[in-house]
Order: sequence, then structure tokens, then C-alpha cells
Amino acid sequence: MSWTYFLAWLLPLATGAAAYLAISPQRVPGWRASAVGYGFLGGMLLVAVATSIVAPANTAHAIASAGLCLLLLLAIVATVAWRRRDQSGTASSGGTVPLPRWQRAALATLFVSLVARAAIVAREIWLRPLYPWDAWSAWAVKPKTWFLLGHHVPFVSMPEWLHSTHGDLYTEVAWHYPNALAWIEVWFASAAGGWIEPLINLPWLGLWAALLLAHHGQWQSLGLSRTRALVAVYALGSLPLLSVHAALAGYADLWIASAFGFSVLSWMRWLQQGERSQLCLAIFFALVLPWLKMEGWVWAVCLLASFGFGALPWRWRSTVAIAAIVLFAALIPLGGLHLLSLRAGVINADGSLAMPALGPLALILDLKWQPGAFKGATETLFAQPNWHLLWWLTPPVLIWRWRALMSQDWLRLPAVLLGICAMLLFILFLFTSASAWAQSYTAINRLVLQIVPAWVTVLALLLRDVDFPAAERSTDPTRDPRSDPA
Amino acid sequence: MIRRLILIPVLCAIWIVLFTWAAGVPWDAPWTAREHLAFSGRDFQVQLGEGTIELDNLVINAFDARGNGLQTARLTHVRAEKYPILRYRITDFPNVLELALVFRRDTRDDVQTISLPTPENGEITVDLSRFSEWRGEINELGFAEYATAQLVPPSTIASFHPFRIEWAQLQPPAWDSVLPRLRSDWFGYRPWSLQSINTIGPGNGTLGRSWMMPILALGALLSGLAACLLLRLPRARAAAVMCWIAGCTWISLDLRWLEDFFTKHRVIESIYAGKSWAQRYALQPDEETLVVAGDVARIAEQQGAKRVLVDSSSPFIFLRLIYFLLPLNAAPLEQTMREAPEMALPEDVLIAVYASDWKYDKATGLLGNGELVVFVKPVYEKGDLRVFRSEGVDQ
Repeated sequence: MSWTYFLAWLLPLATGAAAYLAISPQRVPGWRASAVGYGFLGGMLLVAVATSIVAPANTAHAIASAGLCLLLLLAIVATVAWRRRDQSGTASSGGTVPLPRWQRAALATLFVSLVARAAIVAREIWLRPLYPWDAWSAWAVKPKTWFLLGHHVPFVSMPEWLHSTHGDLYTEVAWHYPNALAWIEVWFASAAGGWIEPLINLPWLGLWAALLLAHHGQWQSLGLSRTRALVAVYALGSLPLLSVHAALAGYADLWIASAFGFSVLSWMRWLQQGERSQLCLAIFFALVLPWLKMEGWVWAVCLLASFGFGALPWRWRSTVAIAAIVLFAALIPLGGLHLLSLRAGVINADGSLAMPALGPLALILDLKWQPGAFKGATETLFAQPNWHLLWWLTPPVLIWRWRALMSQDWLRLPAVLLGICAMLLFILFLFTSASAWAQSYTAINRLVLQIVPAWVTVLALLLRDVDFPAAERSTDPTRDPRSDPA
Repeated sequence: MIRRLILIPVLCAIWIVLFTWAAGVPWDAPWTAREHLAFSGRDFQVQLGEGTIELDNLVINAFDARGNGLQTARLTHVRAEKYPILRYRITDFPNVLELALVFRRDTRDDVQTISLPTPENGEITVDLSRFSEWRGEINELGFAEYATAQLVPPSTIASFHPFRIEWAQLQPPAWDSVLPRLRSDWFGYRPWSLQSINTIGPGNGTLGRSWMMPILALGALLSGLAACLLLRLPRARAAAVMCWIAGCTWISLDLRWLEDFFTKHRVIESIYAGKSWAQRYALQPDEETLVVAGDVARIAEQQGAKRVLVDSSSPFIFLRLIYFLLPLNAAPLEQTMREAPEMALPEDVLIAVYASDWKYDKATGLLGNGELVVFVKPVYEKGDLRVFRSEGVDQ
């Protein structure tokens, strides 16, 4: 590994973290972990933007040209972050209640188990050529082509490809997929000095770690004690399918899960503490979703609609909610959701509409109960070893903490958002032709994965006030855990 | 005190009922099977590969030239339904290999295979009744071994440490097979597969109700409820107990997953560790496709072709070919022609078909698959790879 490759990691991380601190300078509990976690994903997205703008003509040296842009940006955001830090004051730090020795040992063991996982993931990525199907059949085709050619070439539909006379257009089965990941891969390939798959895939491990760090930090900011935040991070990090998506790197679902999770976390902070900077971050991460994967459009619409709904005064909410339900119910039989699905499709040269990768909404047009899909969905969520006890524990936690959920707006609104997302997945997998993906245990888990970090967030925060007999108290005595700043 | 004493048999009853239900043992089954068909290693004949008899064990030293091993034993009119439980012990089995049960059913040509849990060093017990293939009259039964599909490069098993087939046994259900069965189902090694990115568990229809997670979750839930009710715990204490039980169950499942994750990873270590990136890249699970891609790229360069259309009967193979050919301008032949049926293929297009159903007719100069046809000129043929150049005439 060279210094260039090291720089390819450090520069986006530093830029992203500095940008986070420039936007959100508050030194609340967990701010360091949040800055690193958000910084990693934000930095990678900045890499994608910079590489796609300045490096198309010379992809082999993307690290040099895009790196210069990032360096300039780093200087600017670091200056802003430094200045805003001076104005923002210091973190509210309080003494922590010392834990009994056995609890400290138990927490250390949980942490070590996460580190052990990360070590296995790192070796898996490091040793193996690109493995999972869509990684080599879809996601890596564009960046490998661009990098090995030394310049960007357009990817078009197959008829267009056949129609071109000079053979300078390219095609692939997933030619219409968004390009953010492709540019990130070009960045790392240019830093590695070749199409060296392990070095290009290692960022998936970085993203896994960033996901856990950002959640750990934000959960503390939202009032979870450090101990409970660590237990919740263990719960999130131990989910088998999450580790698999890091170990078998190359899919976009972990990126979507992270961006969606970060957006929800920031939104919750805005709802709870009224920090506008966090709302900006929530909107930013919602807006980048479509640039990562097609279904990002659906999640982005859900998130932005929820943000808008959450910003409404109380008296408007019930009216808007009823109107939305009526509209949704009316649109389904009328096929009106076709309009929403246009973004998932492609207008061909002859004006016809192709939908090579049907977005979830596009499939709603022909709703029909799909026998067999329910069994597949139940088995994959409750019986297969993909999610540990996550789906078993969700109903009892919701029932147990129902009063807390309903009484706190900053918990209720994200829960409603996740309920809507779950309902869309429910309709998709039980009522459309996508039910085959539930019966074969395929796409269902990957789509569920995209909302799982946010789901764990809601469950973890529902349990933040639970007071067990002889259990630990909040580590932040300056904050009353029962208070609701919103 | 009395309540605590009552709790112990209640907990035992809960777990015994759940384990038995999971293992699918009928209530009227005997404790041990009254009759069984037992085979020692000596009873197996080596059909593919090489093996020797040591004591009563069959020691497999090598596979055939295609990397397959097969050992079978003759049976006389055995009804599959009567013997649904298979137990076997194979020791020193290399972790890069996959094991399958092969059996001949009723007629001579009706040969079936069922993928089996990889034996590490213990006894494996499998309920064959959950497989639809296990029915009728079984005339021959055996084990097949090969490089784990879509994971292990076949070249890595050119030589391997010998393993030994110690014994195998077919029997009716019995109570003493409950724990071995659950152990095999719950703790058996499952290799990485292309499906792993979607789900970690076994594929659809390969496991019955013996899934570990529901049994543990139900057992933990019922145990917690029994403890709360019998010990009359106050509400807060009951909530704490249930949380502890949930936490412990989660950790148990996670330990199992970590062990599985590590075992999966050990295979990857054994194949790739200590090798340079160039060597690792050459060790693709489908090494042959990589070699074919090299041939196609060379021919395209010789022919001055800017674009290549690729086909194979297996989507896996043609998509892999396209990936290996990059940055050559390659696309799938059939999909491209289907999406643009009215367009003629330009003359600069090379067509590479590998292990494909497309047939070339010398007399007409047409390459077709029964539905689609294209005028071509043959350029190259070697084994399953055929390369043509488009004649640029309308399809």
C-alpha cells in the first residue's frame, strides 16, 4: 500500500469530518464519533462529486486532480470549522457514574467482538477478487472501464450502443444505474495505481465502521447513555447481513443504509433539539440517496415528505395525513403512481419508456396478493440467521414502550416514517411480481437492510429511559433523560 | 423455593418439546432405531478418483482429471421413506470441498444428488425426508466431492490432504438422533455462496422447521414467561428478566454467527493467503472463464474489433466474461439483439459464444439460437469457445 492510497482515505475523511464540524459545531456528547462517521460518508460523496467533475478526461490520475479540489475544500471547511468552534463553546461534559467491573468487562467484550468482526471483514476483502454477483455484473463495470481506458465513456442502452457507428459508446446490463459509487471506485483505483479489487473494496469496511461510529455518536447526542449506546452499537454491528455486505464488498445497499440512517439521525436531532445544521445534514443525506441507487428515489421522497410533515404545525398534520392517505389509496387503483416511477425508468431514443430496473413504486401498478411470498418474507426475517432477534424484538419493544413512542414527537415521527417504508416493502414483496424476490430470499433482505440502521435507532432510543432495577443510570448527569427538549 | 423447584422441570419440558418438534421426531418413535442399514468405508466402491482401504475406512487420495470424486455402495430394494435419517462420519475432509449425497432411484438413469453439510471431524446427521428427491426405491447410494461451487478455484484441489470415509448409516427416525440432527443443522458449515449477499441461511426448501433462530427465540420467550409467572416477579423485575434473556439469546446467536463467519473465512484464507494480487486474481472460482476472456481479448485485438457481443447458456458465465474482458467494449449478445430487433449488427462487431446454445450453419452462414439469427463469418474455435465476425447484414 502506498502513501497515495493512504492519502485517498485520509483526505476525504478529513474533508468530510471538517465539513461536518463546520456545519454542526455543537460539542454535544458523542460529537467526535459523529464527525468521523458522517465525515467518512460525506467525504466519499465529495470524492464522487470532485472525481466526476474534474477527472473524466484522466481517470488514471483522478487522485491528483480531484485530490487537489478536495485539498482546497478541506482548507476552506477546516477554517470554517475552526472559527465556528471558537464561537460554539466547549462540550457539556459531566462526570460519569463508574460501572461495576463485570459490566465494564461485558462492554469491553462486546467491543472486542466488533473489532474481531472488522478484522475478518478486512481479511475477506483484502484476500479475495471481487465476489458478489451484482458487484462485477453491474456496479464495477463502469469504473473498471473508465479507469482502464484512462477516460470517461458514456454508457447507453443496448439499442443505442448498437446504433453507434464509431463504437465509442459502452453498454452494460445496469447502464442506467447512478454513478456515485463508480466515481468513488475510480478514485481508489487511481490511488492504488491499478484495478486492484481489494484496495478498491476496502472502503466498504470503512463505511461499516463509519456507520457504527456515527450511530454511536448521534445516539449519545440524542440522550442515550454511553453504555447503552455501546450496547446498541453492538446490536447494530452484530447483525450478520450488515457484516456480510461489508465482507462481500461491492453492493450499494450498505451505502444507502448509511445515508438513510444518517438522515434519520440528523432529523431526530433537529426534531429533538431544533438544530438547523442537523436538518441541513438530514436533507443532504436524503438528497444523495438517488445518486447511490435507484430505490434511493423512493427513500428520498419518503424522507423529504416526512421532514416537511414534521415541520408542519400540529393543527395541519392530521389534515395533511388524511389527505395523503386518501391520495395514496386513490392513486393505487388509478395507476397514478406510474408518474412517481418515471424516475426509475428511462426514455428511449424512440420516445418509449423502458424500465430496466423497476423501482419499488413502479411495481405497484398491478397489485395482487402473492401466495408464498408471506412465507418467504417471514422465514427470511424471523428464521434465517440474517437479523438475529431484531424482528422478534421489534413488536414487544413497540408495545412495551408505546406510551413513550406516542408522547414524544421526535420518536413518533421517525417511527411513522419507518412504518411507511415498511409498508412500501410489504406491498412490494407481498402484492407485486417482486414477491419472487421474497420467496427466493433475494432482494427482500437487501431492501430491508437499507432501513435497518434507522430501525435500530428508533428501538434503541425507545429504550433510553427504561430504568431497570439495579441497572446503570445515564452517564450524563447534566441532562435529564426524561426531558424532551422538543 | 417450591416455585423454583417447579420451574426447573417446566423449563426442561419447554426445551425438550421445542427440540423434538424442531427435529421432527414422531412421538411414537423408539429411543434408538430398531433397524438400520450400516455401511463401513470398505462397502464403498471408488467410481471417480482414487482411494485405498485402511482398516474399515476408505481413504480418498485423489480425484479424477475433472476434479470430481465419487464413491458408491450397492443397495437392494431399499424404500427411501423407511430410512429418512442419514448419519455419516467422514474425517479430515478438506474445507475447500463440497460434499453431496448421490443415489440411484428406481430406474437405472434416475440419479439424484443432495448437497450435504460438510463433515468437519464429527458425525453428521441429516433428515433426508425434507428433500423431495428422497423417495422411491434406492438401488445405489454414495458420496460425491468436488471444489465448492462458485467459491473455490478448481485448480486448488489438484492435490489435497487425504480424507477418510469411516461409516454411513440409514435409519428410521429415533429419539437419539434429535441432538445430532439439530447439531448438524445448526452448527454445520455452510460455505460462502453467491446467495450469501442476500441471505446467510440455507436456500429455499433445503431446511425444514429445524431452524435455530425460531427455536431459540420461542424457547427464550416461553422460558422467560414461565419464570415470570411461576416466580411471580413484579412488573419491573419481569421486564428486566426478559431483557436479560433477550440479550443472552442475541449473544448466543451472535456467537454462532461469528463462528460461522470465521469458518467461512478460513476457507478464503486457505485459498488466497500468502499470494500476490496477480496470483489471487488468477484464482477466480471460475478460472476457465478468465482464460477464455484472455483468448477473446487476443482475437479481438488481432481482428481489430472494437466491440464484442458475448453469449453463454449460463448468465453467470457471460456476465463474468464481460467483466473479465473490460475495458473491451463488450455486451450480451441475446439481450442486445432482443432489445434492438430491427437493427443490423455492424461489421466491426465480434461475436464470442462460449458453452452456448447458439449454432452455426455453414451452408447459410447463419448463427442462431432458434429465435434470433445473425450472418457471421467464423474466426476461431477451440473447445466450447467459438468466435465469429458479424457480416453486417440485416438479421
